[in-house]
Formats: sequence, structure tokens, C-alpha cells
Amino acid sequence: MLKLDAFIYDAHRPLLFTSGTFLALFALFLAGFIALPFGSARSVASDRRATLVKIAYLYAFSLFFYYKSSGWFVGLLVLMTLADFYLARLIAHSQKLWLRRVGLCASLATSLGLLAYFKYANFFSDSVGDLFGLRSEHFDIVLPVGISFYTFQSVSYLVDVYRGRLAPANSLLHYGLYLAFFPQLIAGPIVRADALLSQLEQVRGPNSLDVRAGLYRVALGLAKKCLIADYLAGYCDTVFVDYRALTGTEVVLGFYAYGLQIYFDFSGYSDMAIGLARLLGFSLPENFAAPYSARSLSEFWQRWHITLSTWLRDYLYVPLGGNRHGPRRRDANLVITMLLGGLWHGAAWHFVLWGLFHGVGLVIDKRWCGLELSSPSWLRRFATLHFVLFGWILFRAPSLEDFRNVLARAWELRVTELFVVLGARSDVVALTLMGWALVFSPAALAKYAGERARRLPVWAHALGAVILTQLLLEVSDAAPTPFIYFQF
Amino acid sequence: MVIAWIRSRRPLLELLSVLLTLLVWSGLHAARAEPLAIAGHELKQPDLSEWFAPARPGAAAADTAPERSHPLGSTQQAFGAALPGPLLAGGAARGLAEPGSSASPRTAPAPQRILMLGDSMIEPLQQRAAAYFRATGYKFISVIWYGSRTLDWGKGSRLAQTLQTYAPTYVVVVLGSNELMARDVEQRALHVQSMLQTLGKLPVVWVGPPSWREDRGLNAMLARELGDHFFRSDGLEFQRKSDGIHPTDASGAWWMDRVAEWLRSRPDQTQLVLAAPTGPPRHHAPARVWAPPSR
Repeated sequence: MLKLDAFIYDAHRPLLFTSGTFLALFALFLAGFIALPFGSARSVASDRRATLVKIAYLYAFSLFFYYKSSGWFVGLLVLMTLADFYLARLIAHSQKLWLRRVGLCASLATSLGLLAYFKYANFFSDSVGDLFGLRSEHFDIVLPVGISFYTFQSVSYLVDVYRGRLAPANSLLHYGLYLAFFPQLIAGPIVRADALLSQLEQVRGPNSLDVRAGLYRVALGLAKKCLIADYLAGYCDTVFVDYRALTGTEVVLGFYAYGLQIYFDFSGYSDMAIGLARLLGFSLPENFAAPYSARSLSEFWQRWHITLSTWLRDYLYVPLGGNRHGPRRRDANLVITMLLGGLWHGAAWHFVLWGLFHGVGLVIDKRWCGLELSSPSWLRRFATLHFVLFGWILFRAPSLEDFRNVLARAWELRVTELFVVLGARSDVVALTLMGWALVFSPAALAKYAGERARRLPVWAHALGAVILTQLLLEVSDAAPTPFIYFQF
Repeated sequence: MVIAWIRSRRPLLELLSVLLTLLVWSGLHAARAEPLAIAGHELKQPDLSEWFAPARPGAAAADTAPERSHPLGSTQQAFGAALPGPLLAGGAARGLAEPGSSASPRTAPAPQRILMLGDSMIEPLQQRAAAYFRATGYKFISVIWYGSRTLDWGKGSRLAQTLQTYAPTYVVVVLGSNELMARDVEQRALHVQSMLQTLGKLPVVWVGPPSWREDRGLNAMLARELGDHFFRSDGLEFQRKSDGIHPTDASGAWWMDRVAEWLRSRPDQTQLVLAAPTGPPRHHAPARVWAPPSR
């Protein structure tokens, strides 16, 4: 079943968690993990040795995983690891302030420089070219998968060490695994160094609860991604590309469907990453907390892609001055942070505008906080949700021209079309309604389901997994579509 | 010893057992022969006896009922006999004999079974195409998979099965309109290559999408992959239907005229001797229609 080429990098088949290849490789990896020595509780030395072996094994598999998804860019990851590790030591152990600063700058310049080169070189050369009316050469650049995520992890590590908040990792292997740990390597969550490094002191492997909770979490993520997001993806692609052939009602339906798609896609992916880490006995930070129930835009950003927004807060907004220099400076800082956050999502003007849109939204949110608080909670929820949904249109539209056109199309909404559309698109309508019902279902329900699942015996998990797999195989006869956040 | 080993690894072993169950299950799924998935509605299966009847060079245009010796069972032959309006049209003789038509009336073209497959852009092309091929004495069938992309044809078995069903001698692909906006052009190139591999040694030409807006390198990629087997339509000016995308019937006929000129002038075995269409217009319906692929 597993042929040799399953181990070799294939640019057109990234190793997605949803693929059968990953399942097979993960089972193989696990068989190896089981065979490793586990050490005994009585001997500290053997325990430490066992931990080291496990970390080395995890690191080796993570590097292989990255090789499988990105080919020889794995070398780039290793180089970045080496540079960061030794620069962090230099920063931590040097008494001289200038040397510490030089170390930090060197590290930031390398990581952000690489990110800028791979992600933004063409964008900037095009933009500058457009500005001066030049025809710029296009560089032939392939974006290494996950570079946006591990660059941010490396920056947070270096800055924390520089600020003295974090002791540098005591072994290269530990730091290497922090950057490359395969569940979070490709698309987050963006983990802080202290959160993972502290877990590497003693690696015991999962306990029974970890396995059950992890299996449930992965299954939940798979269902979100493959059953809901992928199904809606086809419709949303049509809406944002071929909107000319659709009615206004269908386009508006597409807006609501896309809000669901991006949420289920990315939160499903995060669930899988967190669940996979849990299966190995590690805990990763949460990335989503019911974002669409937020009552204000600030609250939305505390609930959506949490690891990114807190990263932006701690390493961009606060260093810029945060809210410490008066409201005017704070507003400017918010807008700058969101602009760059938008640009992080992709090198295109509509992402920048999307960031600006949210930055301005946050400013309004902060300025008119009092007014907001006097309005009823449901109205605030409704307004926040629709602000965000409007933002997604800007986010998703292939270009600014498409953005304009798709809005113009939506403007032609006719109530009389409603029933025709309901009939013709009954599957999308039903799934969208169901999805939004799930989004707004009480949190206690999800919590209960999770706790119930943790108490089920393993055979029940196996049965559930088989049913889910069968469902997935039947629903998606097409190859899995890459995660939305995969390409950023 | 063994028991202690197992006990210390029990959660991992449990996990492994779940994963192995899944692997076995998906392996079983893959092993099951994939049935021919035909989604959506299907038109009445056309009479393949006409399609497969050996066309006698020079006699292709005869109005008489063609021979009925072909491998497709007697019921279908009987069925076929009852059907008027075979694919071989009577207009061909007139077309061939027409003075001034570009095909020489002396050299009868080698018989061809021309299969046109692809997306909805076949609709504006096929009436005029049928007229051309009928006039020349070629057999012609079109197969439309609405909303399909190179991705859909390049993957899965539909292309192979279509080729098996119709066993064409010449294939015209009309594809690309549903992926003009695609960014992952290089990935699509792989699907095009996979399609070409499935098509094998069959003579193939590819009519590019009548772009209604600038693409992201799709036409350039098709031109690169297909070389001079690619008819580029993105520079042409079309009149569009109200959807702003599909060419009108008149514009589609004009488009086919451009394609026909190009087919006549081809250097290799994909050259077609095409007579000018004459005679009363006759409606051509696609042999098979598939609903858009689920994405």
C-alpha cells in the first residue's frame, strides 16, 4: 500500500493532515515511537535519556514531514534554526548591550529578510514598477510552506530572549523541535517558545486521556474541514470568480457561505493540529474561541486566530507604543498593526486593504466604546458579525476589480429570486444554515460532547473514526483542497 | 517484562490500533473497483451504430443507410436502424462537390470519428462544428461536462472511459474557461499532461477558452504544454450572451470558422480537410452531458 514515492517530496502533493498518505506515515511514525525506550520512573538518568531519544525522533519526523511538504527548503529551516539558536545564546550570555542589539538585529534581519524575499519580493517589485511605470522582472520564487508561521515563532523566541523574559533553549534539539514540530509547522497555531520548551523537559508520551481527547479533536477538525468547508469551497469559488453568471441572491448567499468556509477551514485545521499534538502528549495553544459570537471588533480579534493576534499585539503593537502615548498614537498603531497583519496574509493589495478595513474598524470600536455599550447585546453581535463578513469579501475577492464587481452583483439582489435560488441551491442553503446553527450553538453543548467523547472506550473511537472516514471518502471523491491558510 | 512493556505503552498502542483500523478501511475502499460515476442527467444514448459504422472513403456522404457491422450488439443496431438522421449527413456530398470549397472534391478525406469534449464552451461551437464535419463526411460527437476544468478531466477515469466508449480517431478538447482565474497554473499543467497521456497517440487539438477577462497565465501554460496543437481564443473578440461569458450563437459560429481555418492549415496528422458547410442547418445535440463536478 505504501510505495517508496510516499516518502519523497512531491511539489504537487503537499502532505495534508487530511490525506491518506499522512495517515499511513503517521501510523508508521507511531509504530516507531512505541518501540523507543520509555525509561523508568525510578532512574532519573534513564528517564532523561528516553526523553532525549523521543525528542530526537520527533524532530527527525518533523524534518521529514517538512521535506515531504516543501522539499529541500528543509535546509532553510535547519539553517534558520542554527542561526537563531546561537544568536539567542549570544544575546542571553553577553553583558554588552550593543552586542545584544546586534544579535537581535542580525536574527530579525535574517528571518524577516527571508520572509520578505520569499513572500513579498514580487509584490514589491511589481508595485514599485507600477508606481514608476516600469515593467519589472518577475522572480521565479516558490514560497516555502509554513515560512510565515515558523518565522513568527523564531521572532517571538529571539525577542523574548532579548527582553530577558525567556531563558534560551538549553539544547539545539529542543529549539529545533520548537520551530519544526510537525503538527504546527505548516499553518500554526503560532506557539510561544516557553509554552513548548517547558513541555520538552520531560516527554512521557500520551496518557489514555490524551489519546481519546486527541482522537476526538482530530475527528472534529476533519469533519469541519472536509464535510463543511470543502463542500462550501466549491460554491464560494464560483461566487467569487464566476459571479457574472449568478444572481444577486446567490452572491449574497455566497458571502454567508464564505464566512463559514473560512472559519470551519481554519479552525478545523487548528483542531487537527492541536489534536495531533495531544495524541503525542503535547498541548498547543487554542486558536479560536467562538469568534463569530464576539460583541465588538476588539473581542473578535481576541477570539479569531488568537495566536496570530496575540503575536501581533506583543511583537508589533506594543513595541510601536501600544496605547501608552495617547489615543491618537494608539489609533495609528492599531492601523499599522492591522495593515501589516493584512499583508502577512498574502502579498496582494486586497489583503492590505482588508487589514486597513479592520484597523479602521478597531479605531472606531475603541473611540465609540461608550456608544456601543449602550446598545443591546444582540445588535452589537449582529453588527460585528456583518462587519467581519464584509471584510471577508475583500479578503476573498481575487482582485480589487472583482471586489467591486461582486459587490455590484450582490446589489442586484431581488427578493423575487429568493425562492428560485432556494430551490436551485438547496444543498448550499441547507449546509449554510446548518453551519451557522453550529456556529451559534451553545458552547456548553460542544463542551459536553467533548467530555462525553473522552470517556468513550477506544473501540468506540475506532468505530467513530471508521464512520467518519467512510463519510469523508464518499463526500470528497476529489483530492483534498489545501487549507486556505496553507498558502500564506 | 512483556506485560510491563505493553502497559507502559498502552495509550500509544490503542492509538495505533485505531489508525491501523482506519488504514485497513481506507485500503478496502480503494481496492473496491470504482464504478463509473455519472452525475446529473444524461441524454438519450446516441446511436453508436452510426458512429462506429465503417465509413467507406468516398462513400461517406451517401444518403443510404450505412453498414451495420460493428461490435455493439444487435439490439442497438435495430434501435439504430429506426432512428432517422444518422450522423453521416447527406449534405456532405453536396458540400464536397461545391465549387470553391477549400476541400478538393477529388481527394476524399480519410474517415474520422471526431470527438469534441470539454466544458460548456462546446455549446456555442458545436452547431457550426457539426455542420463542417457533416459536410466533409466526418462523424462527430460532442460530450459536455458542464463546469469542468483540466483538473476534473486530468484526474479520475472519466476521460479514459469517454475515449473507450466513443473510440474516436480525432479529439477536439474545449477546456479552460472554468479556471481562467486559477493561480496554480503550474499544477494545472500537470493535469493537462495527464490528459495528454491518457489521450496517447490520438490526434488532439485544443481550443482555448474565449476569455472574457485576462487570465493568470492559463493560456500561456496551455500554449506551452500543447505547442501548436493549441488554438488560442483569448485574443478574439466575441459577442457574449447575457451572462457576459458565453459567446452568442452567431459569435460561436464565427469562432468555429476561425478554428476551421486553423484546422485546415495544420501541418501534421491533425490536419482536417474541411468542406464549407452547406445545406439546411441541422441541430446537433451532444452525445452526453454531465452535471458540474462536485468540488
